[in-house]
Amino acid sequence: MTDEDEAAFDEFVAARSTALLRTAILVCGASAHDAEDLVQGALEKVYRHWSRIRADNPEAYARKVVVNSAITRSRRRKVIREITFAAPPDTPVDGPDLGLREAMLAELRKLPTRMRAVLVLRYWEDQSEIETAALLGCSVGTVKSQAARGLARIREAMVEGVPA
Amino acid sequence: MNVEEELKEAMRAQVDEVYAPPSMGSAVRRRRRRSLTRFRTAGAVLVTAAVAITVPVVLTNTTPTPGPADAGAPAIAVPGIVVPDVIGMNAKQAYLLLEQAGLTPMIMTPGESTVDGAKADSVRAGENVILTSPAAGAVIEPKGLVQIKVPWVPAPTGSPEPPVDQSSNDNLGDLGDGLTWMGIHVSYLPEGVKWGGSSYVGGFGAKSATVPYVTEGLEEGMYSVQVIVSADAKLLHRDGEQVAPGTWISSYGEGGEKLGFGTGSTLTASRDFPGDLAVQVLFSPDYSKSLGEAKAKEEIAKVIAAIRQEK
Repeated sequence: MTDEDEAAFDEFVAARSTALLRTAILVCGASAHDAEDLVQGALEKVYRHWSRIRADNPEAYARKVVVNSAITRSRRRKVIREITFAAPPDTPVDGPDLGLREAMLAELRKLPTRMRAVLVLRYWEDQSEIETAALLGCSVGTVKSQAARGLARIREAMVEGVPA
Repeated sequence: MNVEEELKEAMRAQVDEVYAPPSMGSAVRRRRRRSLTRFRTAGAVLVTAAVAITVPVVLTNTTPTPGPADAGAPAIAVPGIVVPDVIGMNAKQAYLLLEQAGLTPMIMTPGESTVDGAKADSVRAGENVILTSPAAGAVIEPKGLVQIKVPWVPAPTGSPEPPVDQSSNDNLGDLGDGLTWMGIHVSYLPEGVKWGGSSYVGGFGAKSATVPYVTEGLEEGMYSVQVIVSADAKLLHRDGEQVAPGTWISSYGEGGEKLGFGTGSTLTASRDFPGDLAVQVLFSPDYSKSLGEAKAKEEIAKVIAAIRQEK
């Protein structure tokens, strides 16, 4: 790797790592520490192939690695007992009424990881359906259906989360 | 505001104050070339300069590990806030207290995994804080994220059964060869697949249990083949390809949606047994992949066909 490559990588990290970290936090469900580890891992892959990919949208590559490792991590964690019944309690966490936003985020965290990733990419990252499908390696139809189902569940949480 | 915008706003609020630590670049290099002693001081200085411009107020969520490579990371004086002890306090009070302390509190659900053994409708989130992360006494940056965890507690109404105790007796105990349990006998498993030594009770509705089977060298906590038995008819996916009377095979995603065979979907066979007993056999995505589609489907059909009810 040339000095120029190294310098370009530094610029890339400085410019993009915060955005990647935020996406990772949202996709893997709010642990900043885990997310940071994940982003470091993703950037390491970017770094490894930097001279090859620097001219060719390294950000998209990094985002793809971040999102997919967040999904993998979450799947590995819960593989034993929640494979087909990934829906946790239907009743929202209704302890303290923290209002709409918290209710939405709580519901977001309860979604299956892939569905959550779709929502984060579509509505946080403002990725198009086509871009989201490419990032997740699924069809546009899957992105549409996952987004619709995810939003429907969030919408329910909004209704129930509003203090009476 | 519509739900998309609300959601975006909520996400923004959640991560607004999160910034990548300025040591990120050096941390990545450290991971990549732990063995190399050469450290590009020039590069690290450049990172410092660039980050100082893009991130005016540097707030990080983790303390960078001290190490030789951090010599190049900028020493930014960040005034710290000590996380107060809120354990046992009502979560809402704890939230307000942390907020007043200049931190960003976030109430977490107790975690999905802890509720598996209990019936979903028999628990709700408790009100008192059992854990914070970072713990009390830690010094973190202003507006740093503090997660507040509350436990699952039995719901006041609903199932008269107490939630299943997660600690020790929520498994089936020693199953010997692991093939006979809950009134069924697993008489065929693909070559190289055997009982992994664990079992779980209650995760799939009343009167349910599940036993994972593993291949050699599989990581702890993973499964290759998993068999679930339940009295809950919801376990039956009747929408798959019918391979025998009362037996269906298809692949499903994490949310239970029907997908094609491949990465991200779990090959699943369901069988309806007499006496309201449902049995499901799952091949993990990794295991299915290692067999290939045709072989995986053939094997899963053999496994489910060979399960018989013990009298």
